[in-house]
This record gives sequence, C-alpha cells and structure tokens, in this order.
Amino acid sequence: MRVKTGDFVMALVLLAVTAALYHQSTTINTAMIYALGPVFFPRIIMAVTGLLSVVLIVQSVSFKPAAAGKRAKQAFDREGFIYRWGLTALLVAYLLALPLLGYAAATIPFLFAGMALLGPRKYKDLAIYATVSLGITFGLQFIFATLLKLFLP
Amino acid sequence: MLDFSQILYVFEPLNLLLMTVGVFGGLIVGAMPGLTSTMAVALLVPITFGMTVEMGLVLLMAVYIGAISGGLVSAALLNIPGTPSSVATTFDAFPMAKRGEAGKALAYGVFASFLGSLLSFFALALLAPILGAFALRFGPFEYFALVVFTLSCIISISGKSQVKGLLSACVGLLMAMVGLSNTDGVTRFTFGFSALQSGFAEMPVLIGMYAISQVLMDIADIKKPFKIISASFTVREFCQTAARFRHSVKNVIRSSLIGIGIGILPGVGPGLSNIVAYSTAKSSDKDPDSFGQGNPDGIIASETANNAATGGAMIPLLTLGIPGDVTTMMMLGAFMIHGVQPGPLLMRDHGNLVLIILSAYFISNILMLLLQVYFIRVLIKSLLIPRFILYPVILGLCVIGCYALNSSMTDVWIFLGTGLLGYVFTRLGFPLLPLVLGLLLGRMAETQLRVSIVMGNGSLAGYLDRPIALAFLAAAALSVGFSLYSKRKARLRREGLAAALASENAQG
Repeated sequence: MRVKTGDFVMALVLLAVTAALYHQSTTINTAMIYALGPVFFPRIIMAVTGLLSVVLIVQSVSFKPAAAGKRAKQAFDREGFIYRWGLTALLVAYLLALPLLGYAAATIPFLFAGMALLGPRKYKDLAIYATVSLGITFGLQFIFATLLKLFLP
Repeated sequence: MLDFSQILYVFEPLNLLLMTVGVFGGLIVGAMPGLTSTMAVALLVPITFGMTVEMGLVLLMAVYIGAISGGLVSAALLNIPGTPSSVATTFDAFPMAKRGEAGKALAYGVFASFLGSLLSFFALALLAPILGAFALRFGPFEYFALVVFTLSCIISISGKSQVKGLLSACVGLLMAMVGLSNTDGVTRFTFGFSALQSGFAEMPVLIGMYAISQVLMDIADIKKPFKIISASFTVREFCQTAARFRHSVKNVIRSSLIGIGIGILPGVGPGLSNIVAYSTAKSSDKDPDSFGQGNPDGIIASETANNAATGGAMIPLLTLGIPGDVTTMMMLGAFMIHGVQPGPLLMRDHGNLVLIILSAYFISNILMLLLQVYFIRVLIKSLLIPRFILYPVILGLCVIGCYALNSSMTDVWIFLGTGLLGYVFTRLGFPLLPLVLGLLLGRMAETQLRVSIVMGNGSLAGYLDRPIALAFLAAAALSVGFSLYSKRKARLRREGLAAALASENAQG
C-alpha cells in the first residue's frame, strides 16, 4: 500500500477544520432569525468540503505497487530548504519587530538580512545590500507616507 | 448620460506620467521570469489606495498591459516565459533568437502584442456596454448561477485533480463566511478573535497567496544563472518586421478572437489563450512542421492572443463584477477598496469611470508599443537584476502595502498566513485560483442564494422559471462534465499505452 502523504495529511487537516467550523456553527444563536439563517450556506459548504476531503483520503491511498522508476526519492535540496525557511523566519521576525521598532528600524535589517541570506556575502556585496536596503526603505517611506499620506507602522 | 469629455482625463500630464511609469514597470516585471502580471498589480494595489479611484485604476490598467507584454522578452531570450501568458511564445521566439534573429523575434512579438491589444480594445468598447445592459436583467437567481458557472470554469481547467480544485474553492468560500454575515449581521466563525469580525480582507489574502507562494516556490532556483541571448532592433528594422504582418492578417484576427473569447470566460484569461491560439495557428498552417523551429506565425499567434485576452478579461469584470483572470481579480480587489462595485450598475452609476478605464487601456497600448520599440535594451538589461535582491524587496513592499490598506497588523499576519497556505497548496497541487475566487465571490453567492430561495417560497423551484440562470447552471454542469470526460479519456489512453508497452517488453 502506498500513501500520498501530503494529500492525506491535507485532507485530514481540512476535515478537522470543517469539524471545528461545524462546532462553531452550533454555538450561533439562530432562534430570532427566520428562514435560512447565517449557518445555512456555510453548512452546505462544510458538507461538501467534508465529503471531498474523504474522497481525497481515498484517492491518496493506492494498493498498486509503485513503478520501478518512481521508487527513487528526490534528493533533499538543503540549500533550497535553508533559503525558503530562512527567508520565512526572517519575515516572521520582521513582522514581530515592526510594531516594536517602527518601519525604518525593522525594514532595513530585514532587507539586508534577506539579501545576505540569499546572495553572495563578500564585502562588496554586503555594501551593495546595505545601500539598496537604505534606498528602498526610505524610498518607500517617501512614496507611502509623504506622497500618498498613508500610515506606516 | 456619459460625459465623453472625461476621456481627456487620461491626457492630463500626471496621468500620462502614471501610465508611462505603469507600462514600463509592468514591462520590467513581466520580463523577469517568475514575476507575473498578477504580482505587478498586487504590489501596486496598496499604493493606489492613496490615490483617487480614477488615478488608481489608470495605473493598474497600465501595469496590467505592460506586464502581459513584457513576458515576451524572457520567452525569446531565455526560453523561460516571463509570465504564464507567454508560454507558447517560447516555442518559436527562442529558436528564432538562437539562430541569430533575436531582434526580429522581439519585433514580431512587440507588434503582435500591440495588434492583439488594439483589437481587444475595440471588443471591450463594443461588448462591455451591450453585456452591461443585458446584465441589468440579472437578479439573485442569475447571480448565484453565474457564480456557480464561474467556479465550475476555473475548477475544470485548473490542475490535474478536480477534487483538489473543488476543495480549493470550498476553502475560499469558507474563508468568505468568516465575520459578520451580510444578511443577518450575525458574527460567525471568528473563534473569539475580534480582529476577524469584519472577515478576511481580500487584498492581503490575494497578495499573500500570489506573492509569498511565488517567492517560496522559485527561491530554490535563485542561483541558477541565466544565459541571455543579446538582442536589439532599430526603429527601421521594427517597421520592416511590422510590414511583414500583411501576410499574417488571418492569423492576427483569428488569434485575437481566440484571445478575446477565452479572456471573456470567467477566470481563464491570457494563460490559456496563447496556447490555444498557437495550436490553432499551427494546425491551420500549410507547413505545421516549421512551428517550433522559429516560425514568426507562432510568435504572432501567441503574443496576439495573450494581449487580446486582457481586454476580454476586463469585459466580465466591468459588466458582471466577475474577474476574467487572476490579475483582473486583483483589480476587483482594487475597485472594492475604493468603494466601487464592478457589475451592471457600474455602467449606469459610474459610466465616466468606465470611459476613463477604456481610454487608459487604449493609451497604455500605444505607450507599450513605443516603450518596447525605443527601450528594448533597458528591458533586456532588467533580466540581469539579481533575484536575491528582488525577493526580499518584494516581500518588504508587500508587508508595507498590506499594512497601509487599513493601518492594521492583523492584515499583515493574514498576508503571511495565507501566503504560507498558498505555498503548501501549490506544492500539493491544489490550484490557488478557485480559492481566491471563492473568497471574493463567497458572500455574493450566499446572499443571492438565500434571497433566491426566499423568493422561491423556500425552495429552489424559482430557478426553473429563469432561463438565464438555468443556462448558466447547465453550462456549469457541462463544463465540469466535459472536463471529467476528457481527463478520464486521457487516463485510459495513458493506461492503454502503458499496457501495450508492458506487453511489448514481456515479449521482447
């Protein structure tokens, strides 16, 4: 038996979310609302989602043996993994820092660290990253805050 | 009554400057592999928030046209389509560029893009008022059926698995249910978070889904070097190439009609039009074997169709409030944040705005032609901007843009959360388009269904008396049925081939 793990787990997650939403829908007081209350349409969608998730679970399980060529697993891309999740971690840190440090103090280090993570790290490159980070940060500040009169964190 | 003097609005110096910058920026973003017209519009929507609605839409229109056309550059010189709408352009533009005619390949593409957009403009100007007047007859029955038809179109063409497409649409519809119910004012599915009272704001979700997931998907290839074929053309060479189009009038008209037709279909847009137009041009050519080896008609078909689809995609957006493709979906979001609801009433209540959009579309096309002819070298240079600089800047710009929409960090966290969800969905083969469309149209679907059932005295019987609604529902069923049939046929063909191969091996 083979299981497409990603699809299987996603289907289970969707089932769990649907169950949680259904539970929430039971807590909504619809006594004062006549005809087709606020949970009518969402419950139809929940039922369809639940049904489709079960179909996906069934589809993700196969009893046929894997073809010989498909058995070999793809090599783990370590560099791609570091880039992808490193940048995500930086983004999370940036969002946490924004309300605390303010726009400029949080954005400059985020841009610089993001470029240094993804690109080469020689002195010359780092100087370019610093210049671009400063230029972009203050350029955006000028566009959003000065020209368009929008608030920045 | 339409005030045609409003057309002059787009000729004001500031608006002309905005359109020039928008088209040029769009061309650069479109030229860069991995950055799409959707991302270009997504990055700009928050900026337009600080402008008047007219100015904002003029800018977005210019960016949309520029970005669709810009995909040609990387398709011809790198063999990588800059946007999904130029996939078929690579088939002939790159072989032509490889044999030393890169400038010619670009010139064919540039002029074809212009002609496609021009014909599409006339279709938009002619069809939008007619369809808009027709759509005034729509009531709750028709609107609900239209949403079902739209979702069915997208699910039919998106991805390998219809179950995943449907699930994606359901997730979007469920996300649309979060917050205050439109009809009763009851708070739903907030799990106690007061920030979710007003539901998921559309723009942070859209930007997150398309910007974060795109960056995270492409980041693994960040150090892959590009081999760029050098290219250039003079104005005289361009004019000579343009003169060659007299031999391809049929191809241009056919590809434009394909582009406009596919663009009008809700949710489909330029991404599919170029491939259909290319296949049609190939099959109707006297020498189909020359396609794929640098035949100019291949470039003309693809580039005419993808640009023609832009006008086509604007038609359902302006007349029905249903986006024709992902980029026009971003524009729908832009309309909404400016408090304007596209649809049949847009023509009646904001006719002047529609005139301004049409004028901006026309002028942007001319600017697109001029900028590509005179600044093609700069566009080619833009391919050299390193992605390790670009990606953090894009994310930073998205964060600030999402914050600026409502001055709220909640929107920024929604941007991050939905971006990661978009990445997981993309990795697992769940199409994103049904999700975002479900989110955008979910509340309308719910309201119209509830009203239609109440009008039908508590049943769905009212739909039987509505021919337009019935036609939409029948078309929805047909599109899903046809898609299921084609996929089953393709699977059986694959299995048949595999069985034949296995028996051959056993005999051998």
